[in-house]
Amino acid sequence: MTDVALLTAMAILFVVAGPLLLIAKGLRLSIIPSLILAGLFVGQLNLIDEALMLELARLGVAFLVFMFSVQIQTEQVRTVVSNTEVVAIVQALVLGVLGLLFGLMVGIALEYGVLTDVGLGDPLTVEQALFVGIAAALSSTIVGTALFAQSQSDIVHDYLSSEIDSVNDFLAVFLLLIVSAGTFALEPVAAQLGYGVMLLGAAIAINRYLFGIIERLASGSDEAMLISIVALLIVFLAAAEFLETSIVIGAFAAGLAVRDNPVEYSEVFNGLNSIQEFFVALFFATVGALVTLPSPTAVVADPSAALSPFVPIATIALGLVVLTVVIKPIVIGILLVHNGYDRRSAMITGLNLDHVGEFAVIVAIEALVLGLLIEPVFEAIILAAAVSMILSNLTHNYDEEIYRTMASRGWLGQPYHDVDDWNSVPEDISDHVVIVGYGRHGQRLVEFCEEIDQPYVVIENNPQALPDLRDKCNAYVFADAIESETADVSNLEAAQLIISTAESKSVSEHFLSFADTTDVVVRTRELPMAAELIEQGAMYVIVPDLLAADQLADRFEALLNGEYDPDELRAESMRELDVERAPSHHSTVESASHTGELDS
Amino acid sequence: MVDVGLAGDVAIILVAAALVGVLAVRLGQPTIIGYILTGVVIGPVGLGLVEPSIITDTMAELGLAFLLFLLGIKMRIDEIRHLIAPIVKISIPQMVAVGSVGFGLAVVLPFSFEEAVIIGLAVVYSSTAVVIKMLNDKGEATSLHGKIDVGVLLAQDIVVVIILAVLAAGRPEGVADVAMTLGIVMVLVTITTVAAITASRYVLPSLFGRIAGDTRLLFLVAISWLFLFVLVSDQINLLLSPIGVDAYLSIEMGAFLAGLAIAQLPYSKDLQGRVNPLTDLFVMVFFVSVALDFEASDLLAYWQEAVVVAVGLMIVKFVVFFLLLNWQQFDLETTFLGSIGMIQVSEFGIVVAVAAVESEPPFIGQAELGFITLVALMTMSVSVYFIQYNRQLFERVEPYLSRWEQSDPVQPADTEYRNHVVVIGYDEIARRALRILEDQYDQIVVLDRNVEHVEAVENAGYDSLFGDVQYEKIRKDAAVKYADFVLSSSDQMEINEILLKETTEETTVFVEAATAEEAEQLYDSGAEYVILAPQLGVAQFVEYLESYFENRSTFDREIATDMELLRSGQLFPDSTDQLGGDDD
Repeated sequence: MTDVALLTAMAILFVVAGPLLLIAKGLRLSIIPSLILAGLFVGQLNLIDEALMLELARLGVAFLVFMFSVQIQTEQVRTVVSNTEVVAIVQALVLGVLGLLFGLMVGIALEYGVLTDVGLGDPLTVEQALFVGIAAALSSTIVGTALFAQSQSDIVHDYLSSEIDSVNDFLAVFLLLIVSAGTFALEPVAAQLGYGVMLLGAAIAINRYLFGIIERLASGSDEAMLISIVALLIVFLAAAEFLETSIVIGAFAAGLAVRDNPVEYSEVFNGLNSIQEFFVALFFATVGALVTLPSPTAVVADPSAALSPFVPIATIALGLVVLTVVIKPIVIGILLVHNGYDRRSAMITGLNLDHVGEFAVIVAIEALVLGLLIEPVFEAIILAAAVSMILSNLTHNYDEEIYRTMASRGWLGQPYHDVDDWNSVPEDISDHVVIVGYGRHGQRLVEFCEEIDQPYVVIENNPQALPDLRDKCNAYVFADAIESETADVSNLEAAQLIISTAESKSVSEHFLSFADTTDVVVRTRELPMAAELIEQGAMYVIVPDLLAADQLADRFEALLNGEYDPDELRAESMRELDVERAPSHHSTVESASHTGELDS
Repeated sequence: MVDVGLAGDVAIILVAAALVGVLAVRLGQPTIIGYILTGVVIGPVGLGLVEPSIITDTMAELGLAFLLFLLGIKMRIDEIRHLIAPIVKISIPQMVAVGSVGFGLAVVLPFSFEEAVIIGLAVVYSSTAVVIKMLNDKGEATSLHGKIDVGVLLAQDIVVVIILAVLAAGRPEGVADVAMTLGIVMVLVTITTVAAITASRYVLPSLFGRIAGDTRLLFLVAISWLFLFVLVSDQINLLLSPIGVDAYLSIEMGAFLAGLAIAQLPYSKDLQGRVNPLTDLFVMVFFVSVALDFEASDLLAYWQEAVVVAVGLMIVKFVVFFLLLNWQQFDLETTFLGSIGMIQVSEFGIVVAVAAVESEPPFIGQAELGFITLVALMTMSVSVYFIQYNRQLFERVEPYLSRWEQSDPVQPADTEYRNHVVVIGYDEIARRALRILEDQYDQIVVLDRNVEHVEAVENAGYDSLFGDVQYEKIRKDAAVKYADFVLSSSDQMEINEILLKETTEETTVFVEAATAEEAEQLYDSGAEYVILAPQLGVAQFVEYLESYFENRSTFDREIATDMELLRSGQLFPDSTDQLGGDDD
């Protein structure tokens, strides 16, 4: 190992990462695999003192877990487990078991020398196989969130992916707690859990009593607050080290000790975020650098000798990639379909989650540091993570295409309905309005149709909306909007008007294919996209901001010119709010009379 | 694999510095003093808890690099161009004068001729870290006196680089040898500067423009850019040794130039907010570690001499700067503030001294190094107070300085917003609101984090700021606090709450919300009007639908304006179209 200053090594890591990040951006890949790859390249140069670098890089893990734990405080704690969460847990279990079995098989194959001259040095035990299982089971938020173009989406597969991801994150933190017990034997686990509970207790006590004092001492200085919080984190990390448990637990407890107050301390949390981003980037690059690939020169000189130690690593990595990229989407898809989701949402959700998550990488590195995981298996997990993250980006970018190809070849079978009343459309319906999506927008349109006695059909694919559909809608189809079966049942050909409230390009384009015979209104957020949709035959395109601006136009001038007294203005809009929240139809009556005036 | 614990030294440094730092804030003292004291207390001089390790050294180095990077990001060349000439005219005589005084004092005191030369060379510079940290904390980095100080510090930096290069080359053979080294360093600095400026003009705009939408990516690529310069400056010797050139560049210089290249881009404000916290963290380690390298005996060997020299130097530095700035016709306040900031001896003085100790054969011994360090520590600590209370001090002494008043001083460029409109996020609603507001307000500034939106804003003739409003830096630049009208077209609760908290009663604040519950909460927080965009949108659409079912031609007429806009596909149309869609 050449001795290079830590600063130089760090500089090289980041300098290599920069162009890779730019390339990744061009290819619409996410950040983390690029970082791991940068590390992988630099690692082969043998310039980096990995142990030393890891000492700094593990701060990234600490900050990541810390920020995660600060934020979960504000999440609402639910006692009811939703069916998506069940799906997430079952999925993790199935993949975990498959991963474990695969790991064991590789272990047995090596033990009996199926491949000659190939070995790991250490036996591949059940424990090692268990980590392969964990890697297969966990996908996680950071890669996921980086993939989602819009947050807070109404689109079913988007919110499904993010829910499954967050369950995975909780599982990962729980697993980290167990991993940090140092071994899977029962007794240490109990002791570690005890320490863990002690740290958490201390954290809660600090949150309750001490944090207020820290706030007062820092007396409004963001810098003082920032370093105090960092110091708090460090104290917890040190306590965790002292108790010989993982720093992850320390970081998690520290997060609970800090009060989440993003408005009051926006600057402090921004600061923590920047620091976290820097160290997390360093962490993933360092992780990449820990993997040793066979050197190209050695491979050329003597292929079999150079490659043979690498065969088991590659086998495990390949197996993991197959498990996560191929098997995981299938498992998720089947589970979701059985929970009432349509096959397209199920499939696309699966394609969003088909990677080894970065929390799995963190579990692996903690296990490695604690001496639980042997290096070849660790390297296999890292390689699999990098490869599967890149593949996952690709499958996400082409998810609709993949779905269409598979569906048209008949690989996905027929649409499946687990409820009998999946549609309630009268057979002879015609000249009706088809409302796609039963969100806030869709519900208002249904109300409107009922007011003017206009027949309508609602198309919705979210099982959580099913009870409301049954109660409130005269005619609905509970299915994927794009299925041809849905078009038949809702008698699209005979409809007068189709209004799609789903901001999804594929859904919009599907309905625009009926634009020759029917009036079609679709929705998008972006004006350039709207032009494209009108080109394709849309009668009108709903762009929420544009409509809101239209609605505001009359009032805006008066508002902005200050023709309202501020107090009066506020009072008036407060009154409107109350009206809006009450389920009466006041506002519609008002607007109806408004149009009446216009007509007369 | 090794057992990797979290660096214990770093942990002690961070925790101790945080404790002392908070205490310092509590007592109204600058945090730098807290950090330096922390180093004295926990280091070998005090309790001996911590010794410098590779990790602490690296973090300290990063601290200095990030500090200069951050400084670079703040330097818009357009804003400092007119200062370059006076800065050159100030810094060269200043260094000669202070260096001679330092040498003279040292010769009078019991130091040998050679030691006195090194001492003279070491005390010339003022502390980049102290001055810039203090100016940043006080928000004076871009004021006129701040810019002058920064300019002089950079000129000194170049000299440090040269001195270090000379010292690293060993005892110079003669004048020619020194001139050679000097020439190489000047050429390298010039090449790097030209490279940075060229990049900022031709490469970076398109490069950063493509990634600016992704906050995390922008941040990481900017750091990668920084490290590229750090790496090149650090390894320049390695790169050039094959062609037989002994070269030397400082990491700090590289970091500054990397930042300077980014400063010329519109995304620099956004990056400042993100780089700042990392800088704070690393700089803290830097200040703590200044005092870590010494044994008490070495540090205190010449303590009486150090006190004398420290006091003498502070006075001399102030007087020299005061006279030179006055000569360059800066106004009295700028002259005073600019001079009072620069009275300390720099950490670079210590670096020079260390190089002199490590040179073969050494120019000075450990005790002399301790002496220089002690002078630096004392002057830094004292000067921090002078900078902290610089304005109060000026008010006190102003009456006695009237004879130095300028009749026609250099004017600072002033571009501060007051009683203006701040718009957060440019969208259709904001665009139409601005068309009404632009009649009443002269200054309109739009904040957005989308490259295309920012372009549209500039095309529409408003000022634009690229950045995330969650960062205080951006809000300060837009002077949200002093705005007369704030319109937020973001429906993120956090952002709107921050805006409402920052503005006063006098400011009219319009914000957007997604749900009625959020709207009510925002009214409670003091919003004048909450735009419930989704609900308004639905209501408008239902109005259109009513027409659709009653009378198709009315409907077609009503949506005509909208359709025209939609068909154009332009993000923001030219400002020639009519207002609103339904005002017929």
